[in-house]
Amino acid sequence: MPPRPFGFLLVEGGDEQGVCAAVAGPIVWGGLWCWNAQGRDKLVREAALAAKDPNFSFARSAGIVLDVEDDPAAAHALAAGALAALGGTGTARALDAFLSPDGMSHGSIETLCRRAVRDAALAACVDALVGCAGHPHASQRNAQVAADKGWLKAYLSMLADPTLRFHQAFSTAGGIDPAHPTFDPLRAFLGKL
Amino acid sequence: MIEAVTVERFRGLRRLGVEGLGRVNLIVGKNNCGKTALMEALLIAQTADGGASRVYFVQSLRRSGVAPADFDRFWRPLFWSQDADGGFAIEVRGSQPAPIRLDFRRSASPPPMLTEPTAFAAGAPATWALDVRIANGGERTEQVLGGPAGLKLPAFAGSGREFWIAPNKNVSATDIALFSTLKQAGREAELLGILREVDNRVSGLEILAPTGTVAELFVRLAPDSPLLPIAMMGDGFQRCFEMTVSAVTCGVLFVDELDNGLHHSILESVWRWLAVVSSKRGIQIFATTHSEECIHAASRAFTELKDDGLRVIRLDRRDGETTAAIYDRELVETAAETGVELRG
Repeated sequence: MPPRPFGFLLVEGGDEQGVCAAVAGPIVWGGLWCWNAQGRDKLVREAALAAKDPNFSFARSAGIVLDVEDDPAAAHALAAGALAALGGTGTARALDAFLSPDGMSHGSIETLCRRAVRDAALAACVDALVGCAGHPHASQRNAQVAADKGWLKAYLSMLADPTLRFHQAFSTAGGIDPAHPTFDPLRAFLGKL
Repeated sequence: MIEAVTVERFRGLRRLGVEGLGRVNLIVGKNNCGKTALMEALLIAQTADGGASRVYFVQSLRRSGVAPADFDRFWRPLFWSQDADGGFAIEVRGSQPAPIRLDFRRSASPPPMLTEPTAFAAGAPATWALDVRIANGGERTEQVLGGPAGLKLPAFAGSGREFWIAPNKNVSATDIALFSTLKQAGREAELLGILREVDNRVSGLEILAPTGTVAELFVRLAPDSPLLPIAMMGDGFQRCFEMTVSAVTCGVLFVDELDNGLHHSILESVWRWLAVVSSKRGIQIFATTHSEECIHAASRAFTELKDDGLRVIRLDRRDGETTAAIYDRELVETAAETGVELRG
């Protein structure tokens, strides 16, 4: 961590980190220091590690971005645990968490990205494809997350570069629009850090 | 076992408190952040008795060649900002019933005559005195006296519980004596396994006296091959011998720059060995390192053994203050997985 004031952001994975960077924009992102826990199972321990960094005292605020998945209560409990680990230093810094997509509904960061795709005609085609396939993720555990992931992959694979992951598709023609209003709550969250 | 330590005005440490020490403690941090000083403080305050002798020992390692009766050159650098009148203090807390606190301060009153026989002189005036206040339930004081005629330390028989392994190889007569005791007790095999990790040709260790007077340690590299003096082996082998022969006989082991001379590929084996020995014998280990490989090797070894006894202590210095952060095995493991730098 840098020895100067910053907003600390802890994300559960690389996808969330990429989306946050694109949605925040270079000015806000430049004032943040982001750690990637590389999995939600490591979120609390990564928060504890962050709080032990001597330069964490420079963090004016600390925020966490994670997915609700299919269990809002468990996600909120996980966020509370990670925030507690970050707040262990006893300082008066602001602590907050953003749970994708909206803190309550089942889903993930992909749910937001799915809503923000630029090509409405292609989106309709993907909807049709998912219908033809018989909504194969509906009965799975984490159904909404799986459905959004599958939908987004199908959409992105029809762009000029079919190898892009969704967090790489923000500046691509027909990709994901980081300025889309669906990202406004996340943008506001990042702006407050 | 020591669980917490507070160091005040000792060497470059103005004030440092560390709580939550474990059975095996690996101290990390940038150069001049006080890693070795913290270990020295822990050594000095191991027991209420013998603090002055241990201060003399650690300063002898750093100031070899300087006359110990020369207060300004030998003793003064122990004090923060070289302020001997301000003194320094070390307090340790743990399994002992009462904390041990040792206060060292240059005496304000004129020193007495050195009237008792010392190693250096008798009947000569001392020109300086170092007061040692010892609190451990009760309180008492001792004095180190010095002057042109020599140095007088408070009497201390020495417990022999603690061993200090310096960064450079130094297989000493004490190490050979320790090994002799082990060999006589049929415990040589306790060392051979880990020494073979360093050099798989080693089949045995022998103590010989080629001159008829001085005992030397030799290494057998093959059943019928000539024996090789241990001094002919590499630095890593010699340090590993020092470390292991100390670990199987001591109560507390201090290893400065543990990975010095050791190839990264054997660090995990060394840690596994130390973890098992420290657990089985109930000894506490303190070590320093600059090596990320050494930290990760320790984490892997303790994880494999499902041993929660590891602590990594990170020291950081900012604006003249030193802080310590303690990481347990799970946090060290997470840091390794996510690329978080623990070394400062």
